[in-house]
Amino acid sequence: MKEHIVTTYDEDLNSLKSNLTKMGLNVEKQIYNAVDLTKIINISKAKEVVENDKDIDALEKKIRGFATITLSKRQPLADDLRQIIISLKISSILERIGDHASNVAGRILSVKKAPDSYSTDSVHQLGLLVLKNFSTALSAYDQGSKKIAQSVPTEDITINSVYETCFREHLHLMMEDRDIIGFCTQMLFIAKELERIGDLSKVISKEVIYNLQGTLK
Amino acid sequence: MAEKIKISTKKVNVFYGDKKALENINLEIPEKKVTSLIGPSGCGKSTFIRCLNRMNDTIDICRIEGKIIIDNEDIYSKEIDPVLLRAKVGMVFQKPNPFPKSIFENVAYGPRIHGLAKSDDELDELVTQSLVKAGLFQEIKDRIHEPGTSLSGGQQQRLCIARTIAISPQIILMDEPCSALDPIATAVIEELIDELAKNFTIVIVTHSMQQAARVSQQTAFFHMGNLIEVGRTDQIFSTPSQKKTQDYITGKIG
Repeated sequence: MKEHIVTTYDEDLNSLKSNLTKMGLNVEKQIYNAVDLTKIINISKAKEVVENDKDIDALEKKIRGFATITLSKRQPLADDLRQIIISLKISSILERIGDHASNVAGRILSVKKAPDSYSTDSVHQLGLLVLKNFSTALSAYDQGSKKIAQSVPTEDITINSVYETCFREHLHLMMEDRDIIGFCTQMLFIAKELERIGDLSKVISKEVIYNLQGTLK
Repeated sequence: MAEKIKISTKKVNVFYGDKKALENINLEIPEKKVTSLIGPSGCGKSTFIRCLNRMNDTIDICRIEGKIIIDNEDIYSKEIDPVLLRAKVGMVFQKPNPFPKSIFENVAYGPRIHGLAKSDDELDELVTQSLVKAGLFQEIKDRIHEPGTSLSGGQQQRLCIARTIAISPQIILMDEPCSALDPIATAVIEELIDELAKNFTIVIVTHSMQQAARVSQQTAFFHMGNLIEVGRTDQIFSTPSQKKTQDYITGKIG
């Protein structure tokens, strides 16, 4: 990026970006662990995911405070202003995604263990796609790449159709075996949490494009 | 922009001796709107604004080419009387410059020499109205015969605005009108600019990007004697189309 005449202004903007990237990596790790829990239930790991959500909330507050000070101190315009606005928006989206990952872990804590007759891994497969698309959105932000950002909404269409398939599959499983209705219901809620993460990744990619081209079109 | 164009410059070049200060300036200024001119020191924005009421006539080595049209008239044509032109195109300067006379006389001076009031009562009324429009009357109504120079900086600037509008100009040129004022006095002037834009066409030179963003509807960016970009103020400050504009407004090394 071209340097500002005032060096500390560059430092402020770089610091804002590195804090947001750090928050994004934290959230990515949370999604990774949450998705992992949908394959192998691990109570202590689930507790850890729920616990770690606090760090993400703290980072959001930090970014908000930092962005507010930068706005008042620098009164930024044009691309600088957009960078700060999207930092505020993306950090708030990341915080929401963190909540969804934490909710997945919370539901894992409530089911404790999978019934023996439950044999599908479709929720896990959905989670892997969601994780991958989130990582794509994050690198679009990090690299400031419109091309990478544009691939996110396309991939989200696939995620939505995988979610639909997963939903129907679970309905069948519940009709076939009443004993696993409770567990399958929780897995459907988990699938919904993951699908929401997919939607929010798409919103991040749109913010990246807004930052680069200056309009919301 | 669909507005009526009040001022239109066509291929304007300005020279100070051999030095070209402005090159090929084509700019349209809409009526009863605020247009701000921004750009680094020495970019020609003050030179430009001073062309609009022929203030540069007083500088011997200054030479102007091209056309400046106000209300379909070329203001540099032989038929134009510069004194009458300046009554139509008023100007407010960077440093408040009241005459060393009373507040009343500062405002009454213009209408008197232009014969705008038929009687003393009419003159009183005109002075009062001008001070009201400039947002100064309430503050000074009990000391209207005290010297203009006894006022605070912000009040002096509003006195100069009252003096300008007393002769019913159509255009007001402002050359960094707030650069010598504190934030509160600046806010009062900006509020006044909003109000004045209902009746006057305003062209303002400012070094404050935020001020340009706040007060104007159109912004023009000058750089080294060239008009780099002109457009809607919100567009210029959010998504400028020229890299030079972007670098200047965001404070990057150009």
